Amino acid sequence: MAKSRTLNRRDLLRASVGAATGMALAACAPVAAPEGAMEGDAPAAAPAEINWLGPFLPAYRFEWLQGPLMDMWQDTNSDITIVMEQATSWGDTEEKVLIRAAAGGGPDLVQTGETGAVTDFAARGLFTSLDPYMDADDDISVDLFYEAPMIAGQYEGVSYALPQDSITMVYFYNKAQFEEAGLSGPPATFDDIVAAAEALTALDGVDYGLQAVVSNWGHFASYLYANGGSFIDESCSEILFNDEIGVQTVSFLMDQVNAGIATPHGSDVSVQNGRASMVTTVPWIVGWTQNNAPEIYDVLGATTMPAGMVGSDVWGWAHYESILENSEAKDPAWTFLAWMLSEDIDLTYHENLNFLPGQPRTFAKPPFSEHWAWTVFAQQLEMTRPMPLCISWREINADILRPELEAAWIGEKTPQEALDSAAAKAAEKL
Amino acid sequence: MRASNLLTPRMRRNLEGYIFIGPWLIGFLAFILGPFAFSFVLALSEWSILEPPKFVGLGNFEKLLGEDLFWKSLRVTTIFTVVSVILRVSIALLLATLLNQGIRGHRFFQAGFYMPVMFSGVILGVLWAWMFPFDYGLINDLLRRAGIEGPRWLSTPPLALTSIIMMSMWRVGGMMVIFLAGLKDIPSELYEAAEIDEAGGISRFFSITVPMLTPIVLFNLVISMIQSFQVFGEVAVLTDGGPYNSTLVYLLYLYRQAFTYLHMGYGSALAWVLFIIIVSVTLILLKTSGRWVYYGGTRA
Repeated sequence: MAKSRTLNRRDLLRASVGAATGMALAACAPVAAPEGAMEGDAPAAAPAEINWLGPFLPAYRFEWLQGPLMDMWQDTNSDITIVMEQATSWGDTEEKVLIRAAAGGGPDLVQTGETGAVTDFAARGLFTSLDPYMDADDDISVDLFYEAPMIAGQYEGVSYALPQDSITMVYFYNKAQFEEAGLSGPPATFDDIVAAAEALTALDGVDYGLQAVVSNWGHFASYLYANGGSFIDESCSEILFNDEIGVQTVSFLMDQVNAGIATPHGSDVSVQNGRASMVTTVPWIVGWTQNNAPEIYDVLGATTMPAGMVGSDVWGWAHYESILENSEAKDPAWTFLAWMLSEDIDLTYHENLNFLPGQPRTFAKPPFSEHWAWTVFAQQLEMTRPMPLCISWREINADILRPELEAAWIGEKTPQEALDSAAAKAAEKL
Repeated sequence: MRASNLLTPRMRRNLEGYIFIGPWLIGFLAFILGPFAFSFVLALSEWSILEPPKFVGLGNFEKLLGEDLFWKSLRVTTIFTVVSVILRVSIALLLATLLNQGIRGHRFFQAGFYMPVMFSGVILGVLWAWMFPFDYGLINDLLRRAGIEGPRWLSTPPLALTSIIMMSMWRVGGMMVIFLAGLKDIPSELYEAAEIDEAGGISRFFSITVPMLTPIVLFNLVISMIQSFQVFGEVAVLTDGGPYNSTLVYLLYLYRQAFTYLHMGYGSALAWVLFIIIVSVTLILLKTSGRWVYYGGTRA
């Protein structure tokens, strides 16, 4: 007969410690890798698993990536499994990549969104060069993309990131208010902006003809670039934003604010709430008004950025896909990236996620070739220049230029004083 | 000989105790004390996460002394802390006193005042972002209906910080509940004796209520001072430090340096300076509390 024994406190303790130790050791054991995966740069045909830290998107749009897009991928590429991960912000993406890379790991493929992220990461050796992959690939090359967004994915002439889409700003305006003010069409020059803003501000129901966000980098950059100005020279050694064109650009915007025809700092008047008539902005306003303010969407028009005194271009950017240098599955990651950038998938991707395509060939197809706003973006993207590709640019932009532009906007400094002060501080950072 | 026989019963009991607190102890060492010590090493180094840290001695501390934004953020945070702590403690005490009168519906008001405490700073920032805009913000809209042209709350440097301080008043509920508990603890005989002596309401408040609540005032002062020095989320959402850095609070500056620009060593040095400031102010408050805090009718 088996002896029965009651567990005393010490036995319980021993058992607990033993179990805890066992579990801790089990947790520390390496995870068994799938056969054929993670063994050097596995050939694309071998079964592999890649980790994709995907775009920062609202959950309902991310679900499309996880569901239909992954189904399409698996239908033709069942030997490569994509493990998707979602970021809660573009900053979160960067933190995840950095921390995991520092620990010797990281995702295989990552989409970054913040301006300057590619430059910073490529300069730190975090991303692998995509040039050899493009050289060996008949379908994907730098010629597929708009020039400025593509250049912004390079560091010292090497492609470390490819544009998944494109971002730029065009001029949106309220057609109904333009008609009511007797204006024949959207502004084509800076002088037209002033004339239109004066006429529009005089309308009942319009608080300011022009929605201006002087200290917002993208907004200010649009006017600066349209006016022929630059932030910094290509070698990142000379500050240019405080030259005559830079001062003229800030003064132009401030003159409209001071004249009461452009939104002052802290205003919540906007084109989308119908209280302003013109704004330069990114494509999101189209989807936003369509979903939240259909009465504004119905009267919204778009045109390319009005020409300034010297030039008529604007900045171009994108969300970028990069393969990490740490990745042990670079080839499968490239196979997946090349598939996403292929003609049909690129079209499906942008149709479903509502981003601007990064490739002119996608823009040339419906629905992009037929949409009143996307056709304007396609035109604008032909006239873009990249934002500064300097390592310390993000710090200069956030800590130095933006506060000084705010100082000009709230009247604490003249445009010349603000930009000179920013230039002096920025020069120390370079 | 069995190992357990080498231990005295007292040692065995202690060993069992240590084993039971082991998980907590490991967590404390790994996630609190370890990072704490590591941040000190980092404060003496240059580190951008990817490259190995480079020892720079006191270089980061020297650097921060020469940075305009360090001084600016310290000044903004100090002003915020001094003004908001004084106001919050005073308002919380006032509300607790009012709610302690047993007015009708006091539980409803108690819950209402406490509710914002449950919101995170980010949510608070988003909510107030709808209140402050000067054209169609809720506050100015109400003022306009009353015939008053509201100010540009977040657009002028002194007013922007004032607006953030105003917003922080929304979270007095936590302190108010602690004061309420303290008020309930004051022996009613003291008030009865004062009534017999024909002391008025104000006299009773300053001669009985306030002195008896001084331990709670001290507690609330220390806690709210620590929280105020660490203000971050609501400012990041509402103004992101603007306009013209007038609301650039210390943690926002630290966060940008450490996590946006990857100056981890410099960020750690900033964190240690803040730690030293908070510890110093706490010690000063505790040291001076002997002069004004009463425990059970005697000074601390």
